[in-house]
Amino acid sequence: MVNHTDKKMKYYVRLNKIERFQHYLLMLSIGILVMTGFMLEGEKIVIEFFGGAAKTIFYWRGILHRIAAIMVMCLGAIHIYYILFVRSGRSWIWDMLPRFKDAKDAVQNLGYLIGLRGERPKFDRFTYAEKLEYFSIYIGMPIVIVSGIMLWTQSSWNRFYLDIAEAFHRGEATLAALAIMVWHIITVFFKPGNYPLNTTFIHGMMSEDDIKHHHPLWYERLRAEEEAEAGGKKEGDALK
Amino acid sequence: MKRLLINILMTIVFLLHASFFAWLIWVTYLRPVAYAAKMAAAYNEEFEEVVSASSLKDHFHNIDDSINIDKQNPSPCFKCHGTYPHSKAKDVRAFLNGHAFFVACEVCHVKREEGQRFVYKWIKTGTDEELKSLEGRPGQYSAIIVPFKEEGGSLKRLDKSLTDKEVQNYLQSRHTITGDEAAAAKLKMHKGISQKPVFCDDCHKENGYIDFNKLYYKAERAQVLSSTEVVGVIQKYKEFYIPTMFDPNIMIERRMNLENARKEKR
Repeated sequence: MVNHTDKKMKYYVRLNKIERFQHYLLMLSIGILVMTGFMLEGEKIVIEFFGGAAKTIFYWRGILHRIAAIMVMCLGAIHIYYILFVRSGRSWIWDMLPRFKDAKDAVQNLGYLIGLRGERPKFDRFTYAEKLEYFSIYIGMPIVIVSGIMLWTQSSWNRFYLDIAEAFHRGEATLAALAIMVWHIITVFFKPGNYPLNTTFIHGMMSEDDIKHHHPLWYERLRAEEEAEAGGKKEGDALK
Repeated sequence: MKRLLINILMTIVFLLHASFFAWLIWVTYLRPVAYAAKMAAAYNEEFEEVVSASSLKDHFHNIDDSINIDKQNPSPCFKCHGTYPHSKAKDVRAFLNGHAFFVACEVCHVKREEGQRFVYKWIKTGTDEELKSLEGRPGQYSAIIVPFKEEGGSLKRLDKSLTDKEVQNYLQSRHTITGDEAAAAKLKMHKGISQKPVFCDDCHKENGYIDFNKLYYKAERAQVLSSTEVVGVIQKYKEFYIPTMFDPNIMIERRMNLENARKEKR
């Protein structure tokens, strides 16, 4: 667990306040959406176990799902505003944009993982895997939002389009849920070095050692910025 | 100690996680297959039952339930309109004629005010006796569905306004009476009959005209009959494309074109 109160270690800001807020909102809304959404696939045996209460539970399920859906849509708007109009957001999206280096990194990293290369490629602020995960939301969100709105207003749609919307909504939801569970959560909780929990999403900090190890190119940039700043002011402490 | 507690907690987290993951895989990939297999098995059972039914033993093709018209007590309407009265709409006439075997004409053709509801009952053919349950397979009930109208606390059968005798009289005298008299007779015979019948999805939908549960269908069957499945089929059949090879007019035209071409030695 990262102990960001460790005085000997230097820490850098990995996620600022706005980014952490967005992550919390996403966590909460996606959590509710996955739970209330997949309740529709619930096993008959479980639903029957609840007997008469099932009807009430499912009534609130629908309402909660829609509230969480509105939350996620607001989050989408907040995030787009953030990456367009806020300075830190613009730097975020700029560092996040896919580059040719990412394809190269992916191949080289694969080579490293299967033992063909001696060392891992040097990653910048975001690795190709993080970028993939981030941009998959850009593809997934419009699909679930549009199909979700169609299902919400189903009385005004032809059955044909509703069937398509349902297939897309369910398919994308399953894909997203599996991606979060297999990829994101396993990494955050169980990846060696992170176990039992990578707490960056709580305090937003990342240690100098971790950055050196996981994002060496970013570290170089951070150092360069620091030195430039130290040139101006003598005090060149952590970026906060 | 703290480490142990964390490990136990994380094991629980992992197990919860893995079981949800496994369940998602089951729901997405395995349950539909298992469900399809279950349905196929149920269908096969039904299929076997039908095939082994003694009445169908000697048939080669006919493995479906057959619904026979009651020849002893035909509706008086059939005298003029024939046993297969629906002929205009090629796309749905087979459905409609099939229904005519077990549904009184008045179920669809009775005059009704907008949204007016009737009571429907299975009535044993040739009697006034109401069925109290459905025994045997579809088509073997020896009964038809009859509409009733509530009038002053009692129910009035709506399929008995025309008698065989009236029709008989008309058919015998129709060549000797004037056009006006014939028109008046027809008008009288069709009193209470609507020009515009209800369509399939007026009954085959949820809260349609007919409550299939009250007609003693099993709950699942009643649901199918009033489900969107039936409506879906009917909606698709509203745009029905018959292959041109079955359209005699087009085929005759084509053959003539071919013969003309041959004559002109093209």
